[in-house]
Formats: sequence, C-alpha cells, structure tokens
Amino acid sequence: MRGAGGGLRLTGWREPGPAMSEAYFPVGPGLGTEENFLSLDDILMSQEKLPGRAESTLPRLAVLMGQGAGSAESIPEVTEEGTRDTGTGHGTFIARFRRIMDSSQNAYNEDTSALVARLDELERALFQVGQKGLNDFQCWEKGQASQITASTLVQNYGKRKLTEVDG
Amino acid sequence: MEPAEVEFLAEKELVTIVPNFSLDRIHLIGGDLGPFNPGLPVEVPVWLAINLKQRQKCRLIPPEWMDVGKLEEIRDQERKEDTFTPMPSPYYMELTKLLLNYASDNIPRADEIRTLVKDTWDTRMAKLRLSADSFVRQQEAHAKLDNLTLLEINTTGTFLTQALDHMYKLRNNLQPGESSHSQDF
Repeated sequence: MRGAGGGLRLTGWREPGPAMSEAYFPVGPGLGTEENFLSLDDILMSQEKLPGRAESTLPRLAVLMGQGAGSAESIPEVTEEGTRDTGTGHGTFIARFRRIMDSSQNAYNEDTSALVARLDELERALFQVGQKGLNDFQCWEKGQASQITASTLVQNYGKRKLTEVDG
Repeated sequence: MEPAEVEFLAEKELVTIVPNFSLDRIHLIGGDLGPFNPGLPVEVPVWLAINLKQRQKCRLIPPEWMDVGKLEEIRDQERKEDTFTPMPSPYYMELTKLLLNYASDNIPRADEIRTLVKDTWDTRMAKLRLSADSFVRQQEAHAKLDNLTLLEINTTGTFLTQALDHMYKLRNNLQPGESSHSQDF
C-alpha cells in the first residue's frame, strides 16, 4: 500500500550485482502510457494537476472531479512532466542529452550542484546514472572494488567501534 | 554489470608465465593446466598467473601488445580514425590494470604503458559519447559499433539505455487520441 510505514520494500528488476550492496531498489516509472504502481516518480507525477481535454464523451464521470468541475465530463490527462510544453519536450531532451551525458561522465569527485540545478527530476535521475558509471569505473581502476568497506547503512547506525570500547 | 564482474571475465584470458616450481598437470573443470617446470614458459589464465605472482612462484611475461611502440601506434590510429580501432585484446583495459598492479616489475616502461592505455581509453570513450549523441539527435532506430570492448560498453551502457527509454516515453506521449467530442476543463 502506498504510504505504509516501515518495512515496505519497493523492489524491481535490476541486473545481478554484489548481493545486498543496497537494501532499497527503487522502481522506475512506467513506459509509454503505463504507470508502475510502486514507482515514486509515477505517484508524484500523477498528482500533478494539468488542464485536460476529454477526447471522447465519458458519461457520468463528473462525480470524480469534485468541486469546480462544473459540467465537465472528463478525467485529467496523465502526461509526463516533459510534455507540459506540448510537444517540445521531446526535442528539448534531445538538445540537452549531450550536456547531461558529458557532464555526468566527466565530473569525478566534483561539486555537481551547478550542473544539476537546471535539470528536471527525470534528467537528474539520468545524471545520477551517468555519475554511477563513472564512479564505479574510477573506483575499480583505483583497486577499491576489491576492498571490503563498511556499508553506508551500518555506518549510519552510529555504533561504537571496537577500538573505542574500554577494556 | 559491475567493473569487477567484467574484470572477472577478463581473468580467463591466457598469459605466459615462467614458474620457479614443479608441478604435474592439474585437471580443473575448465580445462587442464600445466605441467609446470622451473624456467620453462607456460600459458595459464590471468587469475592463476596473478595468484602465483603474489606468492612469488613465477615471473610474468607481458603480452606482445603491451609494448610502448605498439601502444603508441594504436593510440595514434585511434585519434586519427572516426571508427573504433580493433584492440589487440578484448580486455585490454582490465589486463593492463591487473598486470601493471601486480607485476609491474616484469613489465618494461610500465608507467608509459599505463599512460598510453589510459589515453587510448579516453579517446575511445569520447568517440562513444559522440556516437551516442549523433544517434540521439538524428533519432536513429538502429546503430552498429564495431570493436568496442565490454568494459567500455558497460561504463556508458546504462546511461544510454535509460536515456533512450526516456526519449521513447516522451515521443509516445505526444500521440494524440481519437477525438470525437472534446471539452476543456
């Protein structure tokens, strides 16, 4: 259920990798007109109120609209954020693709806040993917891929280290 | 895939070593190894070569492409051509990293080799991004790139496939539905 308390785990398909390196597998948004029920992106996106137009009569559904619907008989159109500018979203993305790719795959260990400030949510997710590819490669090249390090989850527990405990 | 997984696959490649011990032929599931005789070169998979080297039981012979002259040629050709040069090994990057980290004392001019391979890698990755950008801008449906290695594909692949998914969603949401009676609200 959406909004359920602790213990809810959102799982999705992902490529096999080191087991249990992450405890949270985000579910991506759906393709085309599909929505994934468990995808946070899709949940947030479908909350967006957009003016819509009924393309065919949908009788007796005005009750869904609540106040202010008047005599409208229609359901809000569900669209991706990118198409809010009616049709130029596709072209805009193509123009921005190069920038996102180059900056995400070349900025290693730098402050990227200036680069991501002008990207929308889905582009930011893409930027993170590019950064991950770069960081994984650099980490491997330095030989850190075969070193055992404490998981970030465990570090966040704030447990005392063995060396700090009084004998 | 993780780079470590690609490296795992790379470790199956064969390399020549000169052991300092004796051992009869051993039979493993993947195939036979050996026999090993002191001073006689023998071909083994990289995973074994590295292990033996760490235990000081052998000396590594660098592959014939791991040479300054040859790598300079490859780097220059990569910079000149628009297409990807066929690489001497499908795992050139991984083998360079492994051999130079564990057996640099057996490899002449190791630092220069490391720099040359890194330069070639950078040129190839830049070409790959250029290619991806022109693919996206011209909205092609199909592309074929020869002579790419698994590690190169792995480093940019996830980004490219997600970007293409994103484009697909944007393009499909532009399709208008059938209209009969329309009403604004």
